[in-house]
Amino acid sequence: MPIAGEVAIIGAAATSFGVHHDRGYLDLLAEAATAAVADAGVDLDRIGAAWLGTAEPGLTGLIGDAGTAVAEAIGFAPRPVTRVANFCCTGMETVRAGALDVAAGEHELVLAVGVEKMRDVPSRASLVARTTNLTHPTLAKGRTAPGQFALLANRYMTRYGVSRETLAKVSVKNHNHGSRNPKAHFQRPVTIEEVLAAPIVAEPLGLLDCTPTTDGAAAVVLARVDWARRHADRFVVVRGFSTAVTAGYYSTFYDESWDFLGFRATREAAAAAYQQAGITDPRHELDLVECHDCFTITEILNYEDLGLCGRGEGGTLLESGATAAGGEIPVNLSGGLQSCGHPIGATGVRMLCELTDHLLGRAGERQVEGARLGLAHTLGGPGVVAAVAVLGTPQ
Amino acid sequence: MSPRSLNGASLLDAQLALPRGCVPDPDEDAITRAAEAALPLLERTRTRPDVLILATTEPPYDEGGNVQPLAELLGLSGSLVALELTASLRDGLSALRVAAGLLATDAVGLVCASEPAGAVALLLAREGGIARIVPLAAHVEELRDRWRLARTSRRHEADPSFVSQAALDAATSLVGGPAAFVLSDRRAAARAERACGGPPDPLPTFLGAAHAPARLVLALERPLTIIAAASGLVEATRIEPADDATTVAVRARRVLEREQSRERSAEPPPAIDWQRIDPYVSAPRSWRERAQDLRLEGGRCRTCGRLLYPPPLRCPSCGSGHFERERLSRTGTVVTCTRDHAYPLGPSTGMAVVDLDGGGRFYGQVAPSETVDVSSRVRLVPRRLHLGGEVIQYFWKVSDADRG
Repeated sequence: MPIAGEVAIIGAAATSFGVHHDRGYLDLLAEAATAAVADAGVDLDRIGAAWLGTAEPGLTGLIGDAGTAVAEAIGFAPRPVTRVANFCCTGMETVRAGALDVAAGEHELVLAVGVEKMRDVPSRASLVARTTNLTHPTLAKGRTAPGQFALLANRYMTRYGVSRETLAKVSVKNHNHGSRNPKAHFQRPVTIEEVLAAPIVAEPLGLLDCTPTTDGAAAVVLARVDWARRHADRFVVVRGFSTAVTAGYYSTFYDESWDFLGFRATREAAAAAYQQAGITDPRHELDLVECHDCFTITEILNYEDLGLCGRGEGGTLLESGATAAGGEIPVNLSGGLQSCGHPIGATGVRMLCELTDHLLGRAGERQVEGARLGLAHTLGGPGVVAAVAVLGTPQ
Repeated sequence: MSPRSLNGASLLDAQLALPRGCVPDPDEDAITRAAEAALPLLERTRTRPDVLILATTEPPYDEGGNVQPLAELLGLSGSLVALELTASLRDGLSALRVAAGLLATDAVGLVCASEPAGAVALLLAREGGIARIVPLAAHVEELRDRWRLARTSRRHEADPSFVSQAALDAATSLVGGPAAFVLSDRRAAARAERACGGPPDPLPTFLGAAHAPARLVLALERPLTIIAAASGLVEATRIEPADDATTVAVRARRVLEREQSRERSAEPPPAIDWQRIDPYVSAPRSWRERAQDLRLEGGRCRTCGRLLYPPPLRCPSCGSGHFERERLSRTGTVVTCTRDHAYPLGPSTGMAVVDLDGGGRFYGQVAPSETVDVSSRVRLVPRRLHLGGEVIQYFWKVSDADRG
């Protein structure tokens, strides 16, 4: 049967996100997986299969290149484990694969764990160097992740007259949220002045407009809702889960129909997830949102692509305070990628853990009172793949 | 002493190309400069030459050949007689002599005499052009004045006074009367010109193998004898223009004036440390995709007519899988851009998305010394992208249109 309404998260846990020189890839995997299984209140032996999300195993000496890492880290032999990858959507895609597994009835209980160890190499040697060296010899050569989002920032700012200050407020808001998240990579609030004065990475984006390079892992345990009703102490329900893939890794930049003012992948994935979840007015029906703020501009575009406001109104929505803690539609209460960092395979799973905490009333200082419905969103590559999930309290 | 038979040729048209402010960017070389001269010439004259000869003293490859990427950039790859002369500064004139000898009745020849600092492209036929090119005398003697042994890096030079005297002796003994001289010692050349009543040299920088052909083109309003000499290799050539040669000379002089008047900052553009990156490269891939890389060739969808670059397997608009190959226009408008400080080559790299006139979109680097903005008018220019695997990957970069 389909996932929507039929799959539950019965356990969720994340490691702290940061630079963890004392812990390797397998250590982080084990920590998150063990904690999630404990949170689910089940024995590891009862878990039938695992799904592993890691986007850049080349940074770890290929330890996370296949699902074998789970068997090694937590003693899982001989059960099936598959590694999932879909650029920055890897984490959510890992959970979606696990959800399909339980929805199909193939396994009763499934572990989905996202892990990324990015700081075993210097951060310059990680994504920028790999993008520079491993990519196509001519197409898009010169592109970096900040560089590609900078293209959207410049187009958006020119088209709608939005300033760098507005973008900077995304960073200020999310770092402020992150100061209440003991697991965030960076927990210190920042000021607009600091954001504007930070060294330029790709104009107009400076260092504090960008997510840092981070280690971390997060995991969830999945079951069918009917199993959860019978056996779990508490759980949240997956109301909708959709992925959209719109174009190639290089070809999208050469497609004249892209206006560089948003991402079709997010719009398509959100539309499908909203339909599954029966949501027609996301701005008012959702209680909280975790979205992909890899760069400040991305959060503003996400507001529009997720239907929280109209085209061109993202800056206005941010400036209104509606997406800050206490606002009408709080976005990235965890601190988002800006503050938590972005261990790629773990990020989407972390978002689902955050939503789960709010929906179970255990989000502490960050808690949205009476949270019943939350959305998670990740966006991958040059924005050609997006995953959107809606989680809700059981009805 | 004059050679027994002299095949002349007729000049159909010519184009001079100089770098911005007469100073080449670090990603330019003799091949890119030759393309900058020949592309507008071929587009203007709408001819497909049968012969291509490259003359340069700075060939990028010591082994493997240099004329091939030039042929691709010009859209001339395929059936073509392609040669290169890379020994001496006189090879620009030697290339004209060789081309003249190769041209059968209806054939057209393209000579590109090129260095990074400047290039001339000349289109030749047996008859029917705006000027007659007449090779006069040629001379050879062993004279090791400047040399570098193969597979070594050290350049040697003999005593400068010996160098200039020997060249001058060989050159002045060749023909009588007023002549222009092209020698590596420019002051000696100027003295020789004054002594025989020859015209002064209008070029501000020395253009190696391109220097003599450039002087011919710039002086196209009256007959000129020009002698190029270095290392014991000497060529003398005469050009005899007809009335309608003025346009070509005027166009070339405008290029020279424009680049002379452009200010470059006091610092030359910083060198690129190509070794800062180590890109994935593949010879089969380069060969398979040479049309999209070097000819900017896209695919025109046979079903809906959309022009796509690079040529896809499936049209994103209508889903069809049938395409006609078509070169994209190289002029367009910037959709968006940025200056990226994270990319490791150079202190920063401009990147731009450009909608090309007539269809297709390009995304790539901005030329190193330039800046563009949203809505700028730009043109795509051939440049070195990287040296992965020690192969020169030529590709297109975005340049401010008012430069061209």
